[in-house]
Amino acid sequence: MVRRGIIYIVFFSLFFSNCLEPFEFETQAEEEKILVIDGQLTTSNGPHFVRVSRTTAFGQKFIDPIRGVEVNLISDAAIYNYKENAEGAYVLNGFKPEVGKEYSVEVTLPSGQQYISSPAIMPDMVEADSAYHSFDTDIVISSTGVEREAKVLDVFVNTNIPNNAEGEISYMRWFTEELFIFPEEGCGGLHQPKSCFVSVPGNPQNITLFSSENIDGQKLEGLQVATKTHMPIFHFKAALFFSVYQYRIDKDAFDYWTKLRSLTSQSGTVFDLPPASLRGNIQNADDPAELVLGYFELASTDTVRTRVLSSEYKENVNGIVFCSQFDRRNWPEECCQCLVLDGASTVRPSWLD
Amino acid sequence: MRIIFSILISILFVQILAGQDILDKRISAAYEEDKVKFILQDLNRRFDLDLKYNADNLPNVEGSYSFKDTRLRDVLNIILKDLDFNYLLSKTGKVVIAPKEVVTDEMGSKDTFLKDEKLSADDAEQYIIGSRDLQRGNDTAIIRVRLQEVETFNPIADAVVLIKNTGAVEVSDISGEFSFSLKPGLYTLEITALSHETKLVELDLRSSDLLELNLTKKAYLIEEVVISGKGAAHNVKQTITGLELLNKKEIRKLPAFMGEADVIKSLLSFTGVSSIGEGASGFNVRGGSIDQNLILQDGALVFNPSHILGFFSIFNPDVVSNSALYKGHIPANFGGRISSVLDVNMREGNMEFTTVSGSIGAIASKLTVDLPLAQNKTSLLISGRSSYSKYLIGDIRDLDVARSLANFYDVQGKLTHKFSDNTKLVGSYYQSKDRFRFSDEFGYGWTNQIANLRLGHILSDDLSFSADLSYGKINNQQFTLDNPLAFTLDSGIGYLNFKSQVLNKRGAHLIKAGIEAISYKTSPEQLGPNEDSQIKQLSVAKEDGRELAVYVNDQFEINQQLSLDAGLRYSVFQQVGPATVNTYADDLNPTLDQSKSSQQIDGGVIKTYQGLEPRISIRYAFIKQASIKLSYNRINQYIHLVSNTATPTPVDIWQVSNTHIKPLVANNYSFGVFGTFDDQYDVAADVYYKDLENTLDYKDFSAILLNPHLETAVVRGVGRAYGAEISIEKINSAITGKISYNYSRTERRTPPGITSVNRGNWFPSNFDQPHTVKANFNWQISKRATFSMNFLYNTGRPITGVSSNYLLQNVIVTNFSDRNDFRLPDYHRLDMSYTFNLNRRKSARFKSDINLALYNVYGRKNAFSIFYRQLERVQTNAYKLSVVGATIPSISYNFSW
Repeated sequence: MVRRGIIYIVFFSLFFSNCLEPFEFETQAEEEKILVIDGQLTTSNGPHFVRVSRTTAFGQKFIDPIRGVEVNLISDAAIYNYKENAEGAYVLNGFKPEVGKEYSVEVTLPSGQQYISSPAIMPDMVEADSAYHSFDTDIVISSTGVEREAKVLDVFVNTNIPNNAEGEISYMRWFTEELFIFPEEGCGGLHQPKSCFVSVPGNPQNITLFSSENIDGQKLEGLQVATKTHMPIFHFKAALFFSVYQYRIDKDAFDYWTKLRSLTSQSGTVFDLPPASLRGNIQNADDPAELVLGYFELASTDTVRTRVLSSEYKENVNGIVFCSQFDRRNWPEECCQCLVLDGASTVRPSWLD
Repeated sequence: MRIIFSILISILFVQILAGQDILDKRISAAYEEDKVKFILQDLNRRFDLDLKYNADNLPNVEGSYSFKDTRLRDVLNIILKDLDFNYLLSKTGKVVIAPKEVVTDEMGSKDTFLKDEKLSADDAEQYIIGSRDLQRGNDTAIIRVRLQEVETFNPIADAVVLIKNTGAVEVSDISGEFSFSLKPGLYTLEITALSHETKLVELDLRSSDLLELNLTKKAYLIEEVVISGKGAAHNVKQTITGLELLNKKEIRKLPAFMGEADVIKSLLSFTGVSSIGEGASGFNVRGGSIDQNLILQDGALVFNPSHILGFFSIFNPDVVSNSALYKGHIPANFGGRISSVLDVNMREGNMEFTTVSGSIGAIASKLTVDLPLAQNKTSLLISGRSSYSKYLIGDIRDLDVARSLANFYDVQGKLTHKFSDNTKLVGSYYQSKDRFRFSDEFGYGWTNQIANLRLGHILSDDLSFSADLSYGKINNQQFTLDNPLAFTLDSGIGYLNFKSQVLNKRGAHLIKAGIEAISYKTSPEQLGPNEDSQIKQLSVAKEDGRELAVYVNDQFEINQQLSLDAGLRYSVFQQVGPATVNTYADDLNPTLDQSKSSQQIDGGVIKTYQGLEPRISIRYAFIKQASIKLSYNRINQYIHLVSNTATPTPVDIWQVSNTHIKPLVANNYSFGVFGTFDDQYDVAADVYYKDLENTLDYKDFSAILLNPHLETAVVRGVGRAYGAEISIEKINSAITGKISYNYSRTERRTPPGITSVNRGNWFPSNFDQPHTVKANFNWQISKRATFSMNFLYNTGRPITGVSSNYLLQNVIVTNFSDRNDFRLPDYHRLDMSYTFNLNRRKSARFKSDINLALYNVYGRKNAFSIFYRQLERVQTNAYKLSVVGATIPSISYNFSW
């Protein structure tokens, strides 16, 4: 839908001299900041998180965490307590939920107000079959509203659709993450070059959803789940990996993400759904009418990956620059200290072995 | 013997010639958009006629006519048909053209002047002209008579003066004067003047002199202005409120987008008519949504009047004869839509000779051919338009755009056959296809079919009958080409409509009574795979229905001051099977989680609605130049355009009323004051209020397409619209124009509850634009050149804005305000156009003109929408989309022969 909106704009910009430009919007000051409870419980070992925050003014920082909150995961009679971390999120470690079991989260604010999510059942896992990539030309919009063509790398997934023939509907969404290995250069002295494993999350605004409701067959093939539009310098030397995380979710979560996608994919054209505040599955235990934003999602996960060689990337997309192309005296800092890169770690992911 | 025979033949020939009056004279001439004044002048000059008329008082209207060997009486009948003017033939062979109030229908348009003697000689005033002392001589005397009003001494123009002794006729000019050359003697003059008592004068003419005569005003009945005519004071005289008229000439006067003159874009220059913006389908009238307009083409219902996403309409301006927009009072012979009626009539083909006309524009070209199949009996008009945007797109260097497609075509025909002067059969057909595809990604399209067969029969001078059978169908298609989920989604609706009406003109009454039956047949929404897609076939049935209405409407001229248009319509709607009827725990507020059962009903009537719809409009002319009008209308609407997008799209779905979706009911009230002064200015001030029951609003994020529980996606509410319109218009001069201001509000409210919109408070609808200023200006620079300008300002439409943001699993989410709590920036735009007639001679067979237009002269980037996008992972940006963000120049070439 995002893509559809963008190309619609591009079409009319070329045909009817339309234009797209940043707009200074006067927002109304909120009388009261709205509570946001956002969490995810997956079939992995964790950590599982819940964030409790309040909305922030438009254009400001996106997170205004509430500290000192009591967060519990409830399943049957068992209660599992989340711990607050340094960023103000609440984390549950070492817990692996069971498929088919019912879970909900209970949040008690320091003021004593209690919020609870609608109970949901952990869905069965769907095995992803494979991921692959290809190169294409696409249209992107810059921050100044200028549309342009760009060479891009598209990532696709093939996945199974369980029990589709029996009428059971599967709901899924995907999230991607890039990882590349960045080797430091020998910078002289006592410096021992090392390699960093740099993770870059895919654009979370591009939400890929799927429902098997109107699909024929037991397998979904060639669904595009990510598009990499540009490559900043120093990204990778040997290979780039795309991890495709597949989440199987329930219908309520699917409906929620569908609505969320309509908000993040607004294109200003006649085909936009009218936007609105999006209620989730959490409500005030004493006042159900209170607007609470956010969603507590249960998802079973599976991961598949595709590997992009630097040679094919350079041939099709270009834009890769290596430290060695610079004068040694002018090397950027990351050439000698790769940990300064966002998402960099020296811990090698186990799946690379 | 031969000589005697020749003499007899000659005598017979002379007798035949004497029997032929001037009205049988054969005329061959062609006029293109010429003023009536010019046409009559030209006829006099070219054919040596002696047409008598007051040139200054002829309506300043224009028309296009082609006459080939046509009798003068037919020529005049055609030219004067819509002008409130008649002609008569004097005994001396002069043809007098005067207003109908002077030369009434009974007197006029007849072969000879046979006015009954109404005044006795006792009523005659006696005058001696010239000196009493002078004996009558044999020399010709010239008598000059000046007519003036007894109270005001204002000159009386257009009076018809008959010298009964000789049969000579003259018409007074704008100074109220006329003159005769007569031999001295006794004469009787009969003077008939508009709105004055007829005067009989006995003259004893002795020598040349001036005579001043005073005439007394009388109470008189103003004829209802016919729909195709528009002149000074038309708003004052019309009984009904809020009637706007538009003819082909006026459509072409306005600057056009991409050079394509357009009926609906022209309507937007009227007060109280608006649209959401460039690229939006349809139009909004006095706060109504686009599906609340009844759109008729030759009497047949039009579901989607748009081409290319609303940039153009389906009405080909080359074949539009006239159009009327009823935005206030809607007479009882119309029904089914609560806000307005747009009644567009296509012209009939030329019955006498073949003509060809067309135009070549920046985005489309069109061609129209008139074919007389049987002289003065049968004609065929064929017209077609096609865009060639795909060729323009192909030249765009962007590959995706170059691979795209945006085009339309339409063809239409109209066959007219006169069985007799009293019986006519007219069949018309229209078909169009629109298609938009972006590269290999997605697209949509629609086809439109409209057909109508009309039989009209005049039973007597007072009674006529008409019957219409029409058929229409629209098919919509959306598709994506992205595998593995590429799909095609088809939907559509069709109808069969029968309407029969009897029209009775009895004295001051014009009574229309009729019956109308419509059957709506929807096509199911059909989802299917595109090529190798994994999408499976899915069909969601839509409901069918039928609507029956009977009505009677009377236009009654009670007296000169007071008239009314009153009617009553009774309508019944039935939802018919097959259909699936869903029941819910709370049927008033159905939600999916409260669904109780779904019952399949194979046929028969499932749900019935009915209602009486009284309509009345009253006009009171407290002085000749001004009137006040009041109107009340109640209207039911049984079919709705279902859309949950920011603005309507061309592929939205029509839904008939059913168990859960109730008919929309509106009560419209309006009051207006209308005036005219100097015969050049019309002023109008109108206020209106409209309340609506059973409005449909959409629950947040509701899914409309392929939803078998559509009623759960909507929420029923109420609405209101109110406003005031003020305008002043200058007409009847080389420079004409109109300036108007409109204050208009349109609001909705849904019942409080979990699914209510904005917690049950009143909120502005999507097309609430409180302040609107419109100005248009037209300057006839010369006989060949015209300059037009059009300006529009309105308050930005409401939108749902942002109030804050938050983070959800790394997705930056914008939290939105209450529905329609913000507004777009104000909209304003100036357009200009210049039309130059390329013909030096008016009588040229091949005629052509060229039109240069600038749309959005100062390149205002009016906002069509505001939307939000998180692009850099660090902040959310707001963007303004302007559909037309620059000056759009265009050129078009129009021709005919």
